[in-house]
Amino acid sequence: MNHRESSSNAHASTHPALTNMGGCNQQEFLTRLKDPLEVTPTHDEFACPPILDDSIFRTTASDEDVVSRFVSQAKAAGTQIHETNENDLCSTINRILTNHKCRNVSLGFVDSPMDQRLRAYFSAEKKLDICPPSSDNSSYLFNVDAGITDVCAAIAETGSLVITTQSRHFRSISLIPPMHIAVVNRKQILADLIDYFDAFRDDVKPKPGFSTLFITGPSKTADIEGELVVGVHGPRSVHIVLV
Amino acid sequence: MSQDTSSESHSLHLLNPPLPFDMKLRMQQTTENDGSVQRIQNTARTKFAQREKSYTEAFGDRQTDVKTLAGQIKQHTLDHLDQYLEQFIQSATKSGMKVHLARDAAQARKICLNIAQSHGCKCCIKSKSMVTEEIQLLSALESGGIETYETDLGEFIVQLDGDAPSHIVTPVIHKDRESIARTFRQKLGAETTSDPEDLTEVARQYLRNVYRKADLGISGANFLVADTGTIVLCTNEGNGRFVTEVPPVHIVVAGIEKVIPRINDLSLLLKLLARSSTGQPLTVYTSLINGPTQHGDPVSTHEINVILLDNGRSNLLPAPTRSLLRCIRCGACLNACPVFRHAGGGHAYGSVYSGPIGSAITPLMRGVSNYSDLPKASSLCGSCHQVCPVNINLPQQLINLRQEAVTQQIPSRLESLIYRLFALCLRYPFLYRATSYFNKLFTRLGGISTGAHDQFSNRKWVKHAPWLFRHWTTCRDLPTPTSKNFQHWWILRNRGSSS
Ligand code: SF4
Repeated sequence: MNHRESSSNAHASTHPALTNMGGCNQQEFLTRLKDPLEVTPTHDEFACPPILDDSIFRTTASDEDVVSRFVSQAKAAGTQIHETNENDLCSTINRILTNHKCRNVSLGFVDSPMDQRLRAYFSAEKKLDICPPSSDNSSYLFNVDAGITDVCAAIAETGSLVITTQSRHFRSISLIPPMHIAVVNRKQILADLIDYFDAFRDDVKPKPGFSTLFITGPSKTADIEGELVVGVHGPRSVHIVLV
Repeated sequence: MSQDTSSESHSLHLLNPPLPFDMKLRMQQTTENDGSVQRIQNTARTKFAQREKSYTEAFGDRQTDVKTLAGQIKQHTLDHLDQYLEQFIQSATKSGMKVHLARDAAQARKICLNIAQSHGCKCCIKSKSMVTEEIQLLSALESGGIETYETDLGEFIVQLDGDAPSHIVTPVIHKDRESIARTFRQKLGAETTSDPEDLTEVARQYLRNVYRKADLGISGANFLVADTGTIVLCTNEGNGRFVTEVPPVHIVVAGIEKVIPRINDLSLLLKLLARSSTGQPLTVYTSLINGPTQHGDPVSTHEINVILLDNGRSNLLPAPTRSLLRCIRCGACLNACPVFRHAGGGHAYGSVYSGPIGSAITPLMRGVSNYSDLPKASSLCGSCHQVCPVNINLPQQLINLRQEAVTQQIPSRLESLIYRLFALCLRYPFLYRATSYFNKLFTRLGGISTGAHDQFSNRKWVKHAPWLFRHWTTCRDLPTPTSKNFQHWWILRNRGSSS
């Protein structure tokens, strides 16, 4: 038995597509495709897809000044950048929040020391409310003024933030409040999209329930007469605090 | 959201017309409004220029290599489509998603309704997806008693208006701000100016209230990754994220051609999709969804269903047309196409998929004789092939379809007689010269009797040709021939050089 047959049979037997909602039987569905594909017993081995030669499509070399490229690309996408250092992190965030008259925030940090630090900072001086993810749905987020998160990487080529999470609620913190503040460490910046998929091989591989978001600026549309409008359904502004 | 039945049938009719479809008749409607044709022209040209700029910035002189590679990856996937689908079903199921297969539109609608009803869903939010448009899901959900809202700004407007999208990326390319403001005032009772910012704000506030109560989200997918079982969704407005993140039940409807082999292929394909559509390096939101969220989550229930749809796609799988399934629906070929820009946008094509790609796939999916006009709706200028990120040779495909249409319908007696005479004239130089002399004489005469002066040259134009030739002049004028023809010029030239 060749490789292809063995792998197909393994697939078919363990996790076939469902039919309980009125769907088509998998065997039947795939058989219909084999005819026009001219699948013959001889053309059966599982050929490898073409090699992804990244010299063809890399746009940003890793030895470039990735930080300044990231900053300029993020700005081009409409993101606001606040460069600061480790010590002034909390006060920088606080300044953004007060400038925008935010009364409450929600925190979505994977890095728990950072989370604790911010909580301590805000509660010590009674600066503003931190809304806990206490209720059993995300609807409280509709009343929150800003969501603050960290990121798992950032991409210089596109000016994007990358957030990987297992929690739907955590994802919504960067979506529902009108303002999203992301804390990015300069060391997290990767040159090119290619580097993300290479460096985070295991992260992007499926861990069930994990989702990855690439966020490139505030939400926007050009649906009406091609005119750009910022702030459609998602945040009206995205701020990056760069440490 | 309910709309009156008359407008609903109007919108269905636009993209699912009675067959066979008559493009000429339809174009009389789509080109009626000069303003809208002009707007489509402008938007399409802007998008075309944005694509050009961002491609050059990103890839410089490697552009041909990039599209060749992307085309190879998609082609490889299609060559082994059965295997990759099987692999996708396997890995998506492993990460906790439920996969269903639908042979046709009716089956897909049934699966959707069954899922919705099994969860008792009452309110559905939808993000923009051409494939749900294709299977007419919206009206099916509404008649199944599920209140359904389009959430993409353009689609929201189209839904309120009982209209249909006219471009696969920018659905209201044919509308102006005034008419949108009127719709918002009438249908939503909103007090708003016609400033796009105000209009967007009206939609934002309205839909935010809907998001809170929605219990079902329906989206399409831009890519399905076989090795990881990942759903990839690209949006700019953020509505796609609401649809996939907020309601407890999510249904993804995707064509079988959306599958790609490896997660790493995204590093190439994502780079191309946004640049080709809008010139952005990446869409604002790109979600890679690896199954329902599980633990550490206060939002407890979450179910993701994936419906893989055939609905005529397997008709395109035979080798000669297989490459058409590489399409990633970026819309670049629509923006590049002079016919699309002059025809008054997507409604002219009588199908969900318009422009060059629509002209090529609609006849194959819904019958060549039903859409025999579409393959002819191209000047074969090659612009679509040039911009296509996955290197689909659209002009060649359209030529093949024309050929097929000709072999399917035997040409009329008169037509074959004309061609036979034409061939005769071409064979004998004497006959050729004689006929071109008479041609010149008659068109000249025609030009003198009915013609108008051309302001740029001293040539005349025939406005109304007689008899059989009248069709030629119904929508354009016929130029009278120049005083010297090519042969004449050639002889003179040779004489000149020899002396
Ligand atoms: S055919 Fe090519 S250019 Fe046209 S929409 Fe599809 S991928 Fe884009």
